[in-house]
Amino acid sequence: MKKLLKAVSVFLAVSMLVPMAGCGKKAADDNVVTMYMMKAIDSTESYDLVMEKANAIIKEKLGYTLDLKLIEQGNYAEKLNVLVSSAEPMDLFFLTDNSTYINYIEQDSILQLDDLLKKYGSAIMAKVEDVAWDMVRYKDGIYAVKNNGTYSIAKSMVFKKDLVEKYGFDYQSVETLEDLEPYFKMIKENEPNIYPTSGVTPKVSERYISNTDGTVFDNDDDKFISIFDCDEIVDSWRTRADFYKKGYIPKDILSKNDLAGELKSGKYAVMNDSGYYTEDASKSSNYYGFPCVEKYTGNTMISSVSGARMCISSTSTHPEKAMQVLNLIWEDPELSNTLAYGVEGVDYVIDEERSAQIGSKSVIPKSGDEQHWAIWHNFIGPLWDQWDSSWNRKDSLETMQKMNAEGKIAKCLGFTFDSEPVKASFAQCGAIYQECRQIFAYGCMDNFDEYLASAKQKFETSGLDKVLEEMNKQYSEWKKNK
Amino acid sequence: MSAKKTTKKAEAPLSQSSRASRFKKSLPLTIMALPAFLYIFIFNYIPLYGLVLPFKDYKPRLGFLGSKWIGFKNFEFLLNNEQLIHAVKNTLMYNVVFIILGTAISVFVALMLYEMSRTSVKIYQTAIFVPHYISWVIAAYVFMVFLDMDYGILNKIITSLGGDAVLWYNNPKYWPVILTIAHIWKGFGYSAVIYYSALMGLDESLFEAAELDGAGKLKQMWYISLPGIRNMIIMLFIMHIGKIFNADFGMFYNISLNSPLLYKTTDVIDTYIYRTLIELGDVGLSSSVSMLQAVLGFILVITTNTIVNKIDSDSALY
Repeated sequence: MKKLLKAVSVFLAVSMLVPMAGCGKKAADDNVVTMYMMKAIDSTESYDLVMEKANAIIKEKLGYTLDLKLIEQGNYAEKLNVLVSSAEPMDLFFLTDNSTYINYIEQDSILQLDDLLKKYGSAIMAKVEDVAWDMVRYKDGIYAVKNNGTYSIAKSMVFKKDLVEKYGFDYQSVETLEDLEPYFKMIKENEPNIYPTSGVTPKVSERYISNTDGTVFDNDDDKFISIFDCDEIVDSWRTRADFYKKGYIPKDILSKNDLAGELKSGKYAVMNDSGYYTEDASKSSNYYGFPCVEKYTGNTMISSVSGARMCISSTSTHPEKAMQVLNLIWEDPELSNTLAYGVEGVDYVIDEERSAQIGSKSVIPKSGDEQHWAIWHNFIGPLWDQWDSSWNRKDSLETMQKMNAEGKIAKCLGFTFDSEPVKASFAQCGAIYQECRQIFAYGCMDNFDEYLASAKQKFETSGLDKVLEEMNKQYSEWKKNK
Repeated sequence: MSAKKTTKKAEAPLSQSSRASRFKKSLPLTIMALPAFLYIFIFNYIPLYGLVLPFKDYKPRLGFLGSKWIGFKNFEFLLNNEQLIHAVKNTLMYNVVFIILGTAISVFVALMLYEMSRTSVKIYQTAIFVPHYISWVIAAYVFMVFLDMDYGILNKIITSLGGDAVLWYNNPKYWPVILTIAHIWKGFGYSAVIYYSALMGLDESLFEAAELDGAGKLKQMWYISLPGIRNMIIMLFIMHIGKIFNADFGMFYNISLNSPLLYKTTDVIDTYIYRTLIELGDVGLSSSVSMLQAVLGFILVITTNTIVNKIDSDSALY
């Protein structure tokens, strides 16, 4: 027996030591800055050429090189989470989701950038608008560089053009979700191979900003409320449940793995916009790959809820080099546009005529099967430096900037909630929200009122009230000190 | 068990040489057991140091040891957690059904196999064993061929007979049956072969004697075969009990296409842990759930074994 015990204890001791020994991180190459980035399109065959050209610029200016690591859009959040949770040595990474951002700050996974920006980030400081810094501010620090983009986003409903023309539907008259119903009915009866919609979001609220934990910020009343107390949202869920029941939304919408690809198949009559509204629907037509028309549904308020940003990992062995590379990307339009458009002659050609016309560079990127490279400029950062092309015309960039300047700023911009006092409840609410978010968004429950009641009850048991109380308490304190 | 008795005998003082010769004799068996030993060592013992995680405010940069101790704070997440209670309930129900049905079917199949001729046994054995090697990801697509709501075989049959298409992937009430079928389809071959090999170890003369005494096939099964493999059944039973809080993540996640509409009947502890980790990104919280699962399983296996030991010490695991 004694021997057995001895053997077991040795065995356990060894098993504890083995992984520890494995913990010694391999030293990263000191002159390579890694950047994790979401793929914009599937085909990235020009990768080597693009990197060669981009690195020639970076190497000449800074003496380092950039190692761009691309991850598919569908898996990006998950894979990044694994990398971060396992403390993989890396420098820069792209992030879109605000709750993940807060989480990474709280668990010390990303660096505070204020000092680095002061020292190395002059171009970034010059090109990022003031309001954008508030969007990524956490308590008193900045933890990410907010990419240029539309902060007050013009949203729209997108209609497949040929169908709208075929049925003579006056899409401009659509004001509410219910206005869509006659059109859906027409499509369902006459087009057996077309789904009326994949679930479309209603007119943008001027008042509410949804968070990812069952709370909603009410801009008019200037406080946080429960999502179930927000009639506007609950009503739109109810309408969508009704649409689903009537067969306007595909039955298996929730089990479709690749919804983005599905939408591009052209099997849907009405969709959400591909990011934001353009008057001639060029952005959506380009994204979906068939002619579309759009109905403007309003602008979102400027808040910190979402938006592309770039972070520096706390596992970075040379954050100052990472910041220098990022700054160079913001400083040098040649570099940022190379990363976005690819290599001249291979991935795009210069449109001489238009360039002369608008007085700045205009390019024609390859499209369709010939397109082997693309990263959207707002993934990389300096969108306002984009060369004019079908992706974004120069005037639409100017419109976006104008909208940012005029956009309505949410009163809670810059406020961050510290969930520590109600950690367990907050986490439970987050998990429940994740569970029912899509079911509400597509309306695919059996019985709407029953489901609504059960979801509400789940949030109550988890302590949504406590979370709201704490949130409002912190919010009024924040307002006082503002 | 007989092995136990021999070890007891062997505990008598051994001379150095006989120990060496015994080692030499069992060397091939030891080598055969080595891969399984390594597997368990790597996947079940090495990760044990992760048990510190639920008690820490885990920060990836500081690592397992460097992160701050915070006591039981993470376990607050387990309190009043309806989703978790729900997942625990589901896990238990499924496993009870799996253990009872799975054992019954496997034993039954093993008894059938025992009655077959050598060549047909080979064919059947292979055929029922094949699903064991199919990954759940692929199996999920096979199930989809049957269950797809628009184009699935089942719905095509139902609609051609004049019925209404069934929304398999939207309605949780069908899933206890579907998942039970999936589990048994994949698992019964494996345990049937274990029981079959136990049957092979029985003394054939018992059957011959019974036949002479005029016992039919059924009587032989009831009085010879079943008692003969009783210990094996109890051993596997105890081992299943130990895993009663563990669910086959691959099956529950893939076959149900992870559809949130089905969570009511498809959410089990393992999928819940996965979701808390992926969606909340909080290692501390999800590992506290995981630890709860491990501790409960550990307590159960000890208790079951103690009870079995009291009733019939020969059948117990240790």
